[in-house]
Amino acid sequence: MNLPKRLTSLARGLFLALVFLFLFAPSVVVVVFSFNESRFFSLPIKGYTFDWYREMIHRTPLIDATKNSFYIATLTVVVSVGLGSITGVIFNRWRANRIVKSMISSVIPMPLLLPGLIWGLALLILFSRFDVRLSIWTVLAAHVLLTLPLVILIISTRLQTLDPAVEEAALSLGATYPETLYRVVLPHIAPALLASGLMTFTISFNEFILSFFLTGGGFNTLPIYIYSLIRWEASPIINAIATVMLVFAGLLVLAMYWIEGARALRGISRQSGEGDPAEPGAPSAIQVTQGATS
Amino acid sequence: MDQTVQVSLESVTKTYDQVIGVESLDLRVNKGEFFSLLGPSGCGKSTTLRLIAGFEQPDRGTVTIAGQPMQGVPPYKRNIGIVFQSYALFPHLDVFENVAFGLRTRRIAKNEIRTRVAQAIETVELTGLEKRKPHQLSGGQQQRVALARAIVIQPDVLLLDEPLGALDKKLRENMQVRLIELHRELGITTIYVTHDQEEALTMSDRIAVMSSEAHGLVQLDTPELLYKNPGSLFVANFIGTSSVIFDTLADVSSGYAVTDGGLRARCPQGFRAQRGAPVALSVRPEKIAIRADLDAEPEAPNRLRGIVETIVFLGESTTYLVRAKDREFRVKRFHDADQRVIPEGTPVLLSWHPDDTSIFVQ
Repeated sequence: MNLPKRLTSLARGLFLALVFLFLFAPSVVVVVFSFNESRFFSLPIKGYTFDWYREMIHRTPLIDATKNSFYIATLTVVVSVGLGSITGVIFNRWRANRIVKSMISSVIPMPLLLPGLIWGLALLILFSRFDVRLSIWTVLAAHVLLTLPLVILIISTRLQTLDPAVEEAALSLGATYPETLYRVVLPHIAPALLASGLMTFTISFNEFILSFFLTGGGFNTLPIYIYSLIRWEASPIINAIATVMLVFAGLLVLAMYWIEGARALRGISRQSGEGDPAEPGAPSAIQVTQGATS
Repeated sequence: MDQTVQVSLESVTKTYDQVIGVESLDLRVNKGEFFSLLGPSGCGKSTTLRLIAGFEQPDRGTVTIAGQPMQGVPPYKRNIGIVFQSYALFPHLDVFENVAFGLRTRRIAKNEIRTRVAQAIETVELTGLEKRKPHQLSGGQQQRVALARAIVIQPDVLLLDEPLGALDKKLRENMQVRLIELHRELGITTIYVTHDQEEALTMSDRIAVMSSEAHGLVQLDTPELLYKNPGSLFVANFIGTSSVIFDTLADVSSGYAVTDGGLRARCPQGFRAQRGAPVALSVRPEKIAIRADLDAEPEAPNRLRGIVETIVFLGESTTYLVRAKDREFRVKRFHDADQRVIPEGTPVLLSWHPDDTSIFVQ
């Protein structure tokens, strides 16, 4: 290999290394400091300890907030993916004017385009106007509002890849409409359901602003609890929490790879993976990481 | 052949948002018949198929399958097999499960499903590929899976919607023969939708020619009669090729029409036209004799002089495009041992018999 070629390949490697350093350095710092003996974020590190982890699991408010977040995120997945897939199927089958349909589908992602702050405020005003007491349910409503558009988009994009004649073929072969949905449409959109479910879960689990407006002070979600930790004590257990969340996100990504790999082995992946709007593993990982380090 | 009617449409009309699909269409398809719906796009042939399948309900008129009126009967309660143009295989199911689908919805016992699916897969010669997914198959193989899936349920009628359209020429001709053999073997009443006249002529017992102007039937006949006695200029042009001469009617006597241009044609049954009426005469390419000797057959009733413009050599025959009377005539001549190809630019004499001439009032 001649010199200029070597230099360009070196430059390329260096560039990638810098980008990855930029991406992952914060996480590494968080992980390292979670084992730091000192209470303060200062170098050099004096010694290693598991104290912060021990302290973390003995904090009841933290455990409660985590439970709440899991609970809300799970409910959000059920409601959003449920509503989203039904909406997607109906919307896809709706024989409306093409322009009207494309206008509607470009308005669907609206909630994602406005700052969460505005939605939080708007919902707060709306709920108090109708005397709705703030609770887990108001947070759930907000999270569904935030995630439903994504689910609808992902699922209807996936549905468009199903030849309408395939549904007609099922009908002609004796399958009723519900049977056709269950035996043909559902298996086809399964990867999209999984992807949108994971996204919905991570968005809800990490969501801060809407939850902050709508919990009503009666309970905490994990991000709100972390926020109060930062404000009031700046304890290193924040690093421990972040590390646990990182590990959790990493496991999720691994699980996705495992599922994808297994599907590829059975020879489905090639076809059904095509045109997938969301690569299932990647976005969830990013979401979790962001939430953990913020 | 058993002549009981298997599928019938009576004055069926279907309109989509003011666009006419079919208009007062009457069809009777006999049991065991290979029946083709032939026409250009927009003639309503696909609408007809969808009405029989039950994907659409007629605005007026009735569809009857195997003696049962189909008013309000959804597709899944009609016993029909369909092969779609796009094949429409279930992408997440393997070949076996694709073929088994219609048996599973019918709640048939597992053992029977296994034997019937194996048999159907054998019929379409795909044995050994049961575990493949549709995307792992070639177009021709997917097509045969679609066919197996449709016949395994022993349908009252098999609907084929331009099933060979996506295949290349060799494969298409191969599949045509296979479909004919399969039809003979199984005896399933088959309705075949196509815009390819050659395909329809090759395969069908009877052909219903449809046109976009009529939104329905123009002529219904056996391939042979359609070719020999086209009932209209549209059919003459759509089925095979014809040379057409426009003229006006001079006289009709003893069953033959004579035009002002001195051409003769045999009148079809019930031919009625005024003297001076504009008419079109059409002749098949292989019925026109072409000679380099300009004075041959002085007594022939239909003679025209022209000049050879283009020669298309086809192996067993040659097609000449001859300009005569300011029109292009298509002449097909099969090769005899001693005949030479007439070169381009040669003045030639065209002649044909009145019995081989169709006449239509414009």
